[in-house]
Amino acid sequence: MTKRLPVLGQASGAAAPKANTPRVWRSLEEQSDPKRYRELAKAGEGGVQVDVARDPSAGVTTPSDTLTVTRRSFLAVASAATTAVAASGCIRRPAEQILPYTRAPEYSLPGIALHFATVLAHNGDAVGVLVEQHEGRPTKIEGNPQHAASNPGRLGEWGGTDTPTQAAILDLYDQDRSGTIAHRVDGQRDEVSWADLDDALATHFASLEADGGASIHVLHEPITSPTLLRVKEAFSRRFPRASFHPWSAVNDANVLAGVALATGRRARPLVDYSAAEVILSLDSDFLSTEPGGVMNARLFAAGRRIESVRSSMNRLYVVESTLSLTGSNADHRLRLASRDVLAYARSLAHTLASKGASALGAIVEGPGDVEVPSVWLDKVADDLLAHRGRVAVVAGSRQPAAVHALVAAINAALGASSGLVRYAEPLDASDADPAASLRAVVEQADGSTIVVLGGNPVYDAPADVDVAGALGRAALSIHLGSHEDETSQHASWHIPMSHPLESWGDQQSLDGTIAIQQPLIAPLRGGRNAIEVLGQLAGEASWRGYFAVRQTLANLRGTALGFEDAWRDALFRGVVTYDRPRAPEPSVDAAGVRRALDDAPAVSHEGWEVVFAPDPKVFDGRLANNPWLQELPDPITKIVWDNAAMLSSASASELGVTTGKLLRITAGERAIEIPAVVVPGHADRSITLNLGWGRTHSGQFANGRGVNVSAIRTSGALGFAGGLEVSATGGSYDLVATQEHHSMDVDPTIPGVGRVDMPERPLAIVGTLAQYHEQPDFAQWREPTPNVGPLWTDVDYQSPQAPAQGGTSWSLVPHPRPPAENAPLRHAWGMAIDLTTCTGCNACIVACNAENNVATVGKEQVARGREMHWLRLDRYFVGDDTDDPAVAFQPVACQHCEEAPCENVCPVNATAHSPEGLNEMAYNRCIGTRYCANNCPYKVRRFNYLAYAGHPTELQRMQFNPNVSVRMRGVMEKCTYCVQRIQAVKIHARNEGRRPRDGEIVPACAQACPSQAITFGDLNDPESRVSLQVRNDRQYKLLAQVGTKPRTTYLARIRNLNPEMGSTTESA
Amino acid sequence: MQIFPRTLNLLSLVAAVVTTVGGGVLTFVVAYYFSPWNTQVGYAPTQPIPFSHRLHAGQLGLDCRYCHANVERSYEAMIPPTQTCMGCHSALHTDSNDPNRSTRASLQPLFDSWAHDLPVEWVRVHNLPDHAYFDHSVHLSAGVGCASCHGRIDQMEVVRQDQPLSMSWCLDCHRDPEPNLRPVSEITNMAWHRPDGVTPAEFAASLVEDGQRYVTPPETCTGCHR
Repeated sequence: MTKRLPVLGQASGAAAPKANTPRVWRSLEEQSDPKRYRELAKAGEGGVQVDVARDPSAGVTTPSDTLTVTRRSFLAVASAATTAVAASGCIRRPAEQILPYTRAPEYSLPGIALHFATVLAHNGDAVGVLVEQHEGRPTKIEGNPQHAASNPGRLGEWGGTDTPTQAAILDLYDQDRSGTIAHRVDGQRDEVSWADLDDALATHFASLEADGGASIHVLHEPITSPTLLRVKEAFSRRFPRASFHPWSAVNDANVLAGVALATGRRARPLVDYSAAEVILSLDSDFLSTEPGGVMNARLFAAGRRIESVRSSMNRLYVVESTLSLTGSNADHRLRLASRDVLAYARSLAHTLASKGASALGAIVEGPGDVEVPSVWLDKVADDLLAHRGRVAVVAGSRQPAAVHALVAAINAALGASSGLVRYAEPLDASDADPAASLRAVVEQADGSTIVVLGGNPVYDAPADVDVAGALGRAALSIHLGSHEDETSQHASWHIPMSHPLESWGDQQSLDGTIAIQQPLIAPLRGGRNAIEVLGQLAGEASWRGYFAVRQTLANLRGTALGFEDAWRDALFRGVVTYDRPRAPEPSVDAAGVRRALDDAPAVSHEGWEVVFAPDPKVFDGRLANNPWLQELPDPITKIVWDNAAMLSSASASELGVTTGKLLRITAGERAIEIPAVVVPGHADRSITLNLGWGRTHSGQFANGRGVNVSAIRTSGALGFAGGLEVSATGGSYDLVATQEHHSMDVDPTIPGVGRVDMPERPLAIVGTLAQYHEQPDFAQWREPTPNVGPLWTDVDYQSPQAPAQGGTSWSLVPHPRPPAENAPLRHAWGMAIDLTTCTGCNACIVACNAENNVATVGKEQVARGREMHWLRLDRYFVGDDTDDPAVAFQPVACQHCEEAPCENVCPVNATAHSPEGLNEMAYNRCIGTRYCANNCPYKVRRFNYLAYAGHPTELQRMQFNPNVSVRMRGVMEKCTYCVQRIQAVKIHARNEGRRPRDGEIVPACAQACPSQAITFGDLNDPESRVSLQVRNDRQYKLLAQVGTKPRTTYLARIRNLNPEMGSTTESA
Repeated sequence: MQIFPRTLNLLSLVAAVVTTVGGGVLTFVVAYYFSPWNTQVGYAPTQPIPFSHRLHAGQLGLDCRYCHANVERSYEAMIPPTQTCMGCHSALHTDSNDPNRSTRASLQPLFDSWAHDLPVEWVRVHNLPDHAYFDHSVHLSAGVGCASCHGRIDQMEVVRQDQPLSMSWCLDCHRDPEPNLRPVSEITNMAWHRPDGVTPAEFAASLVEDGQRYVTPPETCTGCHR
């Protein structure tokens, strides 16, 4: 018997697994500089000071950062405060007033939140949502379970959302949104009234009627609103010669063009990932930044969820350059430069043809010009062919049309189109190419009238298209935008755009679901939306959004209901019932695909490749002024408040740079400087640049953050470009990443209790499907039984609810009484997180921010390890190959330990245990010793070092959830399992004389999760969903060896490896 | 042998005085802190309209829930909208030549509110700290009557705070709720009292037998603080 570690105790239960356990690690720095790593990992704990560079760029971001307190000012304030306190002791609290309604609005119950169904458009798709509203203030956005983009196939009881949807509520209360109409003449800015604007525009557009509006160019974002489309037609009736140009920096024009080449119809493939057994993604980040991310994630998770060893599970192959969120969830991943993906697709098609998919033989004659491991052709082809009819191949929208055409042919040849891959036509049938549209506007700008309906082309247009110049040359230009942004600076008129939560509209999702967008609040800063502005220019009499949308619905009629009933039904459910045209099953035209392949534009294979990717947080820059998103760690790099050039470690050594060193990327005569970040798993000689940063006229949170990479993006290569020159400038930049913060596995030198180094048992347990089948309880392997006794009396959670203890608050001794026979059983709340279905998308973190009034702290404070996120998403790399690791995500919030180490060190009992097992935090008792945070092995407690909430303005205050305290400086906080939701449901159930039902209580993270990875409920109910999860054989407790008995259970991440691939990633 | 100087004899006198006075001050401060003056029992601010609960709830016998309509559903009991008042007062004392001049004058803010769509600015009497999340509805469904916390509202000409509303006062009942339980049907009955000769425990047990829910008031932090 070897020497036993003091805490680990003996191994229990399962025997050691036969396979080697993979190495699980957090970052490259963990190996290269362990000392710094440990220092960073302890950041935020009491007394640990982390050196923060005093780089001005790392500087002030939130108002709280500007609070510089000198000794003198402190004394002045302190003495004044003391006097005030002494004086106020004799005075009653200030009188408060209650202002009731004069006429109470229908349905409103003061104190009870109302929920309205509406829809939020994003990235060519639209997610149906339910918005929570407290006395007229929208405060929280949830998915609409009846809407297919949020809850496809009614897979869940509630709808999923993503980070942009969750963060949209903060955009509503953005202080920097424009509220005034700006008229610019020769650089002179005037503010005018709506009436003046209406007059000026009416006169101008009346004068354009004569020639049919030939000089009018309307630049709009891809249209997903049926009403906007209808208004567009009305506009065309008034101005038959006016031209419309769709532009969005991130678009799927290549997809539509490619499918059109293959099938003759402009359409997008819609994949039912829940039915696919093998999925091959060619540079497609379908779980996150591609349109339909929420829907895809939910379907993908449904095909991946395993309840027991009998469950089947899909397999995902990903070929991509950047380590995307989808790539992180791959079973097998090939890192390949984006410019080589077409050649790979060609080779794969050739291999498939030679192995029996004869339809492809007529399309590709030989393999593509790319070197890939042979298994990535042979074995992948074998796997695809073995699952004919149940496979799906998808390609990313940055790939050229030829790839999409070929993918359509492969899907058809593999029989995938039998319901698994459907084709949905976009709402707007216009086949204008976005880049060409933008160029056309610029070419014909002289003396024209340019209407920019939303979007921000001056900022996000490719560098070779001078939109700013075009706006200057136009006779009149109008920009409708939420902010007075880069484009507004060059337009003669800026019209404030209302937020989707403030205006009437409608949106069609990818799958054809139409939903009404109904306002929750009158426009806070005035403003109109695209429907209203265009409708007014079109000369519509009833251009107001409400009437326009009703007119559209009247045209759509497809139900037996009368119009008013249909209208109310659509508003109530958030989905419009209408007769959907059945799209014909497309047939692939081999000659068309061949032509597409022949005509595919050549991408230079010389020099460096640069990939332009939408940012997972700020997207194309439209979400940039949202501090929740700015402070959200990037899913992979964990960088906050910045973007960086992602590259592989081989590329980094070739350039002689490390993370944080500046790179100069040169494309022709244009160049940018951007800090590098080394990302394991990135393709070599390729650099990924995220769009959406380096804004100059957005607002206080976005301006000057990151680097605008559009400066080297050209209209011919929106997705990726080859032949660029990259060099190190020698300079460096302070990137702040939360990667090493709050690590749980630090400092193996601490002796005795608390020793948590256990190299054999990683924190995020990852196994293969084969391993799981062989040993279903492998995750409990060496589940250590701590040989320390409990500090507290064990609570019997199976007992009935304790009766009131009796006595009064004056009595020192409680008067315990036995529970009555008829007392109901108590609750034991618990959470289960399935690491297999967690895609790492961050939606839970933003949902938690919104629900729990979590503050943002700014870049400099994050550098000190003081970020306030109650829930963090740990990203681990798995495997020994630092160039090509697998990835595991692990959401970690308070584990609500039975034996909570935080509770017994609190000197004032501010954190205590509830009879239902919650580890609760009483802010008003907390005196800020931070002992609890130091003693927490999971590092989930967050301390308000400064007054991060600050003195919120009236506008910011409107967003706060009224059911959660806004914490002050000097107070500890942490995840509460959304106790306000627990209490609300319990009270509701008690009033109805029943117990809370399973699934009735949903914490914000679980509700937001698009892949339904989080389950919450009562562990005392053996049939509850969370109980089933906790009894799952994959379950394990985090850091079980320290004996904390956490209430949160994790289910091991399973990867469905193809044994024949034999790749390096198989070490798992 | 004299160790201490004679002048030190004064010390005992000084000590006695300081102890007495200091102890007295300390006692006063502590007693004041817990007293109704500090917890504001009896606070009865002047309202914009001298609304008489004695008249409406007492003599006219309106049920509490006629005006505080949400009290069984929401955490707020709800001050009624002007609309509710106007349900009766659109026909009562509306005439500017109303013979009851003082009543007519005191109702003027109500008519102004209705005419100009502006709220009546009532002054809050029962003011809990912002970090205490009190819910009316669950107390009512447990069988805690209005009078238990608000006193005999039906006898108050001007509403005043009847109970301390301090945390220890809340906890006294949460630890031993039985003396304050009554049938849910009687919650708004101001005059209700437990039948004579029945102990609180026996009565609470009989309520559960009659189908009222078993009351387990939270004594834990998050029961009220979130």
